[in-house]
Amino acid sequence: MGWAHRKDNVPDANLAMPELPLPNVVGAQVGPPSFESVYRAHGKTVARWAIRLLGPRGDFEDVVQDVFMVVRRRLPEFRGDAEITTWLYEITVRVAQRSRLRARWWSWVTGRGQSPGRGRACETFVPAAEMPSDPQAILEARERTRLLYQILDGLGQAERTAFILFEMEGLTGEQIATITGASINAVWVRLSRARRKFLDRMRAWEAEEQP
Amino acid sequence: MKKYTADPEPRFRDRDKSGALPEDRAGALIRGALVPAEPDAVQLARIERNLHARGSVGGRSPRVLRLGLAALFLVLGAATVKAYELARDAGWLRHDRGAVSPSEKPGATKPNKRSAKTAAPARIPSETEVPAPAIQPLPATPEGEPGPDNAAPEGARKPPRPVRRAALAEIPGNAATAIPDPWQPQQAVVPPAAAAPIAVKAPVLTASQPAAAASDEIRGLDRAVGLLRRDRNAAAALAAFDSYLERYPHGVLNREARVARIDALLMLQRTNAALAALETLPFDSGRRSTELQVVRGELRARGDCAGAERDFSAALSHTPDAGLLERIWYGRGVCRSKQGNQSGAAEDFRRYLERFPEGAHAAWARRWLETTDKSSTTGG
Repeated sequence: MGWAHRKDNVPDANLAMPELPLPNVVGAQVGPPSFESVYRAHGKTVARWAIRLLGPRGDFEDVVQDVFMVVRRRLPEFRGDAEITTWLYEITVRVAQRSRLRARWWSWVTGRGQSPGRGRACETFVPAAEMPSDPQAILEARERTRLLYQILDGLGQAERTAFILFEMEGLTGEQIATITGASINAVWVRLSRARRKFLDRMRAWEAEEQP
Repeated sequence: MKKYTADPEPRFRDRDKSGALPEDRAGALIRGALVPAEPDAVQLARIERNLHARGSVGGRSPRVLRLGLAALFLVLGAATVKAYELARDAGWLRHDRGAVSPSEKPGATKPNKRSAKTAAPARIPSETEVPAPAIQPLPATPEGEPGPDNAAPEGARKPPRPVRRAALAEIPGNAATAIPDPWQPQQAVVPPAAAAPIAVKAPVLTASQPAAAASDEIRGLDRAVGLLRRDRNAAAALAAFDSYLERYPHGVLNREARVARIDALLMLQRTNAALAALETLPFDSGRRSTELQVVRGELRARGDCAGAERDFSAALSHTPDAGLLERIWYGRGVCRSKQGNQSGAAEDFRRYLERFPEGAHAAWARRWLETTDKSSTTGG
């Protein structure tokens, strides 16, 4: 580095020092992004989260639509204090919880719920990359998915959400606390209860299945 | 209460695959389940279409609907109460009064609460009370003259009051607060000499007045921020921020207003005014503050590279996120180079390229480093 601190040593005349770009605070960095760009960039991810949170019986399209209705309404208030994905996750979790409550209420009022394998919902789950792709294996995996969500349906709303986010989505406790707006201690308590209930219900199912 | 500080246990799905414990079986169940698929383009397009359709209707907020429903229920409730009062006044509900209650029937042992209320005058006689008459055909009464038909309902409502008042007055210490009985001849109320003075709290004025002022202040700022963020009308927002700052020079949201005003100035490309505003703004180590410091560095870089470098370095010490880091390394590199500190600039550009090989200025930084290296080997 022999040229250090020598002003006359800018090597290329064509490579003159650029002016720094204007800090386009409102447009780019600080101001909220446009609704269309958020939808294009994160629509698929939100849909995946919604499917995960709802399970095979939920209508994820409705939830995604509701999530982006909220996003459109609240985007001007988004100040970028948190990552936009965290913000979207938070909205998705709330909308999915509301959707499940609505479905439960509807099922209670009408006296009949959706059948587990009805409609387009089953197509929203696919085998993981490392899974075998033969029809028998897929059928078994589908049955396991149905059972998994059947067990999860016996958990309370908050416990179910904590369980899914931790065990299935692989989020950390801090992330779950941020998304659900709960303290970290509350998250661990919910998770601990959810795990206990999950194991109890799984054992009960196994006892019923075994002759 | 037990405090949890770290993940309590490994996840079920990370447990031993060959284990036989319930936790292991739960892990196998989770691992063996299907995973959510990403929606295809058709589904996404359908959702987007629905979103636009719902938006074009007006995108009515659910809050408005909820308020509407609440108002509807209030109106219905008020209408029900009014209808009841009208029906009672019209005499449609009069058949309830004076009816023989079950407790008055021979052999009745358990008094009904509801009938006890309506039949109370018959069971609690007092000196002012006209006993409720049994239902029987009555002779016509001249209008305006108090007849049994007019007197009975009034009498039926009044009598319990003297009993309650007397009971209240018997409670020690309640003598001073006893309510004069309008059905008794009025007497001069003489407070007992030994009665303790009643301590009356002075009205507290501190709660409502500042709250109203604060809400005015918040409304003022909210309007200005709305103009900037929602309407994107920077000129109007700037005027609103100036008016707000003039009106509330020491308001609780003063800093927020000043920061948002800088946004408006930058939106209007009034960089000198924005820089002047940033010069008077104190910074801390928060994310927003760090970002503003970077913005000031970028603005200063046009004339005061030493000041800009100081800003970038200070922002760097606040552990900024990736977006800011990219701007800091690039900006400081340019400033150092302009000041002749080529080694410092090269260091910044190398760091920039290591972290952001595909960054917005990566191609330029790469070319700068290449030509600088070439020049240093040939020239030095």
